[in-house]
Amino acid sequence: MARPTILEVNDLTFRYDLRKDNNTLSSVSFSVQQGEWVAIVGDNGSGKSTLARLIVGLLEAEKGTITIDNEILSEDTKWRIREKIGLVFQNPENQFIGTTVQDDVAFGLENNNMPYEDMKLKIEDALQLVGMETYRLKDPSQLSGGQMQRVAIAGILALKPDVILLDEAFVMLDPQSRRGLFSTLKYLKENENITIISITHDRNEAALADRILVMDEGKLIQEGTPKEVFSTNNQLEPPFAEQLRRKLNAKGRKVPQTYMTEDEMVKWLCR
Amino acid sequence: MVMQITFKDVTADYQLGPIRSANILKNVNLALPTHSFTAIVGHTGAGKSSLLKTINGLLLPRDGSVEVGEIVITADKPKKALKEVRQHVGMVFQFPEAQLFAETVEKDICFGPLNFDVPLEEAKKRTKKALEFVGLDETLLEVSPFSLSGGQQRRVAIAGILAMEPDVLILDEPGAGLDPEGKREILSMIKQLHSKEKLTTIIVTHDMDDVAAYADDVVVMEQGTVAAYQSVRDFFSDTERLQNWRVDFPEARKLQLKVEEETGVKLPQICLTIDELTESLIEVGLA
Repeated sequence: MARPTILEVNDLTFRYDLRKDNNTLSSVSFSVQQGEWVAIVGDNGSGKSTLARLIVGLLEAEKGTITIDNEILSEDTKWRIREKIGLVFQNPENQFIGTTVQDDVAFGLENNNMPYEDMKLKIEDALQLVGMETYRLKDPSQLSGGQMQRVAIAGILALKPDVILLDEAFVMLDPQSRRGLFSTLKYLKENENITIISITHDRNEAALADRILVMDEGKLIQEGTPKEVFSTNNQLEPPFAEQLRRKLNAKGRKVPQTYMTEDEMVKWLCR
Repeated sequence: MVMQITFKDVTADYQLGPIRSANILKNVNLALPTHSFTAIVGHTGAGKSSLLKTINGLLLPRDGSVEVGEIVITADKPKKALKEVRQHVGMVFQFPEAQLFAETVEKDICFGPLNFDVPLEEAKKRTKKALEFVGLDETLLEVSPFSLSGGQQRRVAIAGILAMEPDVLILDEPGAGLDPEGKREILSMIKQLHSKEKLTTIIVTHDMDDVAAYADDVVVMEQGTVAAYQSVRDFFSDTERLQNWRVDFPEARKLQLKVEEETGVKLPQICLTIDELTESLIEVGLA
């Protein structure tokens, strides 16, 4: 069954400096289905964060359209559209406004005029999902980098948007918290049909996605399943198990000749 | 210069006016030898960044003392010790590129040394040297730091610290947010600097592969205390304790444990890198 398209990006072009010819993004087109998990990878400066900012309407495209839930993003529609899509930035210090952790999580809900009692429950839930419930009365500026990142994620989770857009939102987290949040996201995707778009440098995170989009110098150069992308793109550093497969292959061992996930590799070693 | 760093019973909190928050560091005792390369790991909020801040007096111990070489920092230390310690300890914060401010790369890097009364000519000389160290071209001197890419900006920020010619270099998550290539470049650069300039180097990281690849020793922070201080190899050998600390393994070791559990075959060594794992797998005939 084909799922409805939640996000459609068509021929998107953008440059920061209109006096110059080099585009930050050139004719990027792709679409994302509802309930899909898409990872966007690419080197620093390849245009990933710019793309995220365009999608939530923080920047305006020079050319092309962005359609979210069948509505074209424009000056008139952007406020309605932002209720459907939440962005978590890479550096959470850039987005704190509350004087306590719970106030900060409440900010988005208050803007949506949510009744106080409902809001309390939502905040509680969201803070629990990221494991920060005991810090609810703390000043966000007193938190560590990783804790701030978790609060920023809670602020978006509380809003339960249709699409969660994560711009390197996990870089300051320890590996275990990171895995914990991945399973939370997976749960939301499977049970609440939430769409996840994650911009990441972490190959293991990208390998979790249904589909990977590869950006290079402002262009979308490849899209496919993790298996397709990692087995054909030599520029991209693959997850560890695949790196091991290539090492063993180079040493003349009789490993399978196609991309292997960690489970496949363990199974093969234990044959 | 000989710069061992000694923490004696250090307790610290972030006091805000009359309100005291809970202790963020509790009775920390630790001695990091001069010229060592130490990685600090631990759960978010365990006190890693706070520990770093006590080394150059950005966070003062409420009890106990921090000694950097001959300089002693205690709660009631006059400003002189702080100024002195900051000349020896270079601190690179999380996302240091956020602190770039000057209109040219040269002015930004010169800012630190000039503040410590280094003459302009000397500061400019140091700037060139620092830029070379971080692998950026001299032609960038007159460029605005804001026109550079994220990875380049981080290098400029690090160069600004190096221009102060510190003996101790502290970096809080130097690789966060960089692509794998950029991250590797920054960390190997730090490692090279460490050996060449005989620095005492401390990094905070969540990436256990970086710990395995670059550090000599590991400090585990847990709820404001030092849970362990060991050499890297000893540290990763202790499987059970690592799981208790909620610390991860390097990728190679993780896969090794999985394979050993599934097959019952023990590999001949603790594998911390992909090369070690490849060799061991071939040696026991699994691959």
